[in-house]
Amino acid sequence: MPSQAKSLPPRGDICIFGDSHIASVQRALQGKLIDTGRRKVTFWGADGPSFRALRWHRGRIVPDASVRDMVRKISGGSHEDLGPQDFDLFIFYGARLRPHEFFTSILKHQRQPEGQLSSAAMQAIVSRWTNKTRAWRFAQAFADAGATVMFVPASLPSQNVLDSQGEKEQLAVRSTKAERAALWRILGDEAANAGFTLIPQPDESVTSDTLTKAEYATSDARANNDWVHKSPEFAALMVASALHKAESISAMAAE
Amino acid sequence: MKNPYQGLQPHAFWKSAVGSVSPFQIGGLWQPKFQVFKTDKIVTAGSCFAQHIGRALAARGYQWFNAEPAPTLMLAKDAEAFNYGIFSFRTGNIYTTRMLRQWIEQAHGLADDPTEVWQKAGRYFDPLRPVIEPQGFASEDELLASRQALYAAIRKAVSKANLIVFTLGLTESWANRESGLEYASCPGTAAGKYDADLHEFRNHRPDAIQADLEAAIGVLRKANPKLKILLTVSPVPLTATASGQHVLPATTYSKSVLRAVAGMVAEDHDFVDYFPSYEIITAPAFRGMFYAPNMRSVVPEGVSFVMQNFFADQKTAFGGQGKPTVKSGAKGSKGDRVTARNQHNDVKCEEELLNAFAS
Repeated sequence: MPSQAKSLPPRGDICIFGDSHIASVQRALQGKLIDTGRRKVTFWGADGPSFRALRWHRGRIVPDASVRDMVRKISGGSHEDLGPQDFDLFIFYGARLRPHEFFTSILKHQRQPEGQLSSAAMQAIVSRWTNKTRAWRFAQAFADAGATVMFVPASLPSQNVLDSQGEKEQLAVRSTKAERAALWRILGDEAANAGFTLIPQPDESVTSDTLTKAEYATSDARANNDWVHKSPEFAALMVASALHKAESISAMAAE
Repeated sequence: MKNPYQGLQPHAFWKSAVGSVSPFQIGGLWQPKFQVFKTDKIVTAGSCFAQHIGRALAARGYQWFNAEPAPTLMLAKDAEAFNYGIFSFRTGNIYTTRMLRQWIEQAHGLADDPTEVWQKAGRYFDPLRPVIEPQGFASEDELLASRQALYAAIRKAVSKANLIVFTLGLTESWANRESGLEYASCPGTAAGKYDADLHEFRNHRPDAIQADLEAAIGVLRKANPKLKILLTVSPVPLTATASGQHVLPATTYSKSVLRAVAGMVAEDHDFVDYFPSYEIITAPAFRGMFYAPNMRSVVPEGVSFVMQNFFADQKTAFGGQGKPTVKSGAKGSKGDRVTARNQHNDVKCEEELLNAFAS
């Protein structure tokens, strides 16, 4: 039985940790699309390419000098580095974990008549793929240290933004609701084994091509060919899901 | 002409071809029947040594065909552990022609899918490929589903390939006395439990080996009438023999029989050829130099020398080839490339497991 994330104090402060995806969370907060009650929200992170300049050092996430200014700007100067005891709830958001890589690889494989995959082979893939992501390792280290971590991975690519046939072939793959649920369950189990909670993208936001519905793309997505980032509304949906999950875990722990 | 030997080329005479030249000058050992093109889809199957051939072909830009690739996200070392990219499909080593026949007939619906499954510590092992999954399968259903996927891969490989390279490995094998099913290895070694009443030792005789090989070839050619077949014999000696003989003469018997059958079958069909990799490694003229100190494993230099001969003899017969023309998008999948990346890794040989039971 996978372990569950630790209980959350109902009014604890929240840290949103991640890459460029956290911008949409900031906009959602500014637009009052997210209700965090009286909890204080702090952002901490760096853009994607700078993520590799975040390191685990003496039990904390520490930025290299090259990205310190960026981290300071994002966090408002409140935390030079980030430790598992600094907040009551951590929401890892985006954070370089891209489920579409996993979904497309597995689904395209399984579409082939010779594409059956044993559970052990699947486990090997999931374990390697998740652990190569720095933020996944950070989340596990935080959980090991007693922190409550909700991990919201990067969203699936946006519908109607993929321009070239090559992009479509690479990023889109037909899938059923049951198939997507099964793959999310595998990722969720892996996270639970690592001590934290993975928040899957709600299936209502996903197309049959395993893309995020166009309505959740950023407003200038097509102009910028930006299939990666999403709207504040989508961020609100995901953060609400993370908060709800954290609340339910907290309630269960309190019983 | 006084006699038929007059006017023969130097390679027909021992003195000029072997006796008076250094081993590395011995060449022209093969007069190939057909050209192997870089654009040909080449399938490899058989015993351990076939792995070397597949890797060497891939490294030279030939289109080694991986019909059962690993998912793109799977790391190379995991793919190798799960036996992806070792052969063109995940049969594991096919040591005997009976095993080849079983696989080919089962994949094409000409033989029943065996229901025998081995269990150990809650895991399930396929008697036809007991080490294909490092820890066995999670369930019988998973095992059988995996075998269906394998059958699809075999059919795909056979139907799309231009050439199958099959390396004959052993005459000795173990089978289920009741069902007749031949195993990849003796029950109780890699997996399974040995039962003297149920399991029988077989040391196949030449006529049976030839019949099995012909039967397999018949199915292959029916599925793909243009398919060409290149036979080789593994130069790797037996790890152990259950024949009661000393392992050295048992090896000689086994390899001699396989070599003879390969030669006869090649002689009988214009679409079947025999490439003498076995001779290049084992012939006294090469002084055993291509064997590791255990006098069993073939060192990389030996494999390289074998393949040099392969390419040189192809070039002599058919001229050189330019770089292969590969259409965009027609490159091998990442699963294909796994093998090229791993070409320096050890070959996977279930037979080695017998060593664990040697003492």
